[in-house]
Amino acid sequence: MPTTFGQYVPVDSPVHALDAKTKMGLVAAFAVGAFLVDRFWGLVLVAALVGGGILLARVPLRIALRGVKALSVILIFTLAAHALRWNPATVSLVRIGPLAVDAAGLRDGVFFAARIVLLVVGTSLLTLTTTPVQLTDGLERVLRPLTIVRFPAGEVAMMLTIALRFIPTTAQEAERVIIAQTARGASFDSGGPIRRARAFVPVLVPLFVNLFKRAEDLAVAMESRCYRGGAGRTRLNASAMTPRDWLVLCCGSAAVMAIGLWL
Amino acid sequence: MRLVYPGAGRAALDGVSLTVAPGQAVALLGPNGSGKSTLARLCNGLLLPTDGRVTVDGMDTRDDDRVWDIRSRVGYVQQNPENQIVGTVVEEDVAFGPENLGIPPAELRTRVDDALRAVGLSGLERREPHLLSEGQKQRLAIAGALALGPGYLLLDEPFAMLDGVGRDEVRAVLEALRSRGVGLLHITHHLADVAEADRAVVLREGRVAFDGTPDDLLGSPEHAGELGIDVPPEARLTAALRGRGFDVPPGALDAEAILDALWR
Repeated sequence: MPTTFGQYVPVDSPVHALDAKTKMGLVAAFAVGAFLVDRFWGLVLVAALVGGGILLARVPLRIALRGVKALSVILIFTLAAHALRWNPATVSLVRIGPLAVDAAGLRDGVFFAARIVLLVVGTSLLTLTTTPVQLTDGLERVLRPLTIVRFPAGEVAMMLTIALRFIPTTAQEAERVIIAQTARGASFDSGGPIRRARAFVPVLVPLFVNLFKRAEDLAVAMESRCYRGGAGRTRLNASAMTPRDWLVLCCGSAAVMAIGLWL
Repeated sequence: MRLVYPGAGRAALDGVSLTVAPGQAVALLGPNGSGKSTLARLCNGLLLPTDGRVTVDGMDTRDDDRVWDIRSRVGYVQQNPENQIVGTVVEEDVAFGPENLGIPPAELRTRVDDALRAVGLSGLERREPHLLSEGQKQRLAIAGALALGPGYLLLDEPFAMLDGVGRDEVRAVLEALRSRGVGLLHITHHLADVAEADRAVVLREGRVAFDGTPDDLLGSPEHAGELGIDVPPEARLTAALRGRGFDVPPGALDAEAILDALWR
């Protein structure tokens, strides 16, 4: 029973089977391509690609579109900024007093809003089909060239790995502390939001004290096991890109870039 | 050998001399704050002595060039298994030490498989650590140390967080390692752990208060109690029986062992 946090959807699919680095590269190319699109038909093709990706990844549509809800404010703002005109001289679609909706502006607004939706849904396919651990490993490899400018890629990946490793431990511990404080009469689900937030202070203090103790033990354990930073480390499960990964990466990137450049 | 922490008035360890031979188990006892963990951390170079020398297979812990050799020769297992597990799955945690040494991936795989087999965790390679039992977690911590190919293990109260089953599991693993020639320095509060050791050392306020055979220590529970060690009532019973001429071995520390000895 692997625990999953974040957005990962645990199903078997050809998209899940791709290497994290492949998917990262595809997402980067997709983002650039989608931004370059400036014709309606280009957007339709991008939408078809995203739809195809969702189908291939076997991610439920409801989950794939979950991120759009968080965007609603931005989408409304984008639409309004493009479509609304103040007291225009030309003929408008709808007019309420000085405020008018402009036909060309509305078309632009819909176009830009649709592009944002496609961008978000398309890029979220990465986190929906890749576990946090795979993402961390992929990130380390992708960031490695930056070690030339002294960016600590290995250390950053190690920090992320340790954070992931201790999320369930910390959650279990928080639960224990909450039970202990409840047994002493603390109440976590009554009163207003401020009162409830304040009720968590007696949980956070022991939780943090314990975390510091853990961090100290962990540092000793890591040093005892010869940890000396990322340099010279090898990996047991170094994820490798297969020929299939390269093929998908090259064809996929070329396709989205072509759509972006010509349409 | 002596060690004074910076800013501390009293030496944390003073006049301590100790040798652990391959395949030997030395039990290190003493009340909290007596310097047991400090002594363990001196043995793998996490701490350096103020005066005196600590050597591992002839390598001085002060020698900067040998630090990683020393840490691979001397594994360190702490009390709380949870806090020393680095990897997000079992096999990656075991691989952590050798990965740091830059061992090639093919050899990493054999080292991980061997270490997991030695502690009886084969088959759980992809399990997430927080889903293991406490005994399994502590065995995982031992496997993590074993993957570095150590000749010695420092065990800092490895049973403290375990239940009876977990203790028996870990004890069996340690016994097997010892018979393979791994030297053990076992820090403990419990007199029961002493019985299986070759030698017992008691620290008190940073000094050696007792150094001898486990039987000597077990034979006089009153004395052990004075030294600040937890003495189970069975040990007092055994000592009392022996005082009256019954042929009970000093290491008989539970009712069953005492009964067995009496029936014989």
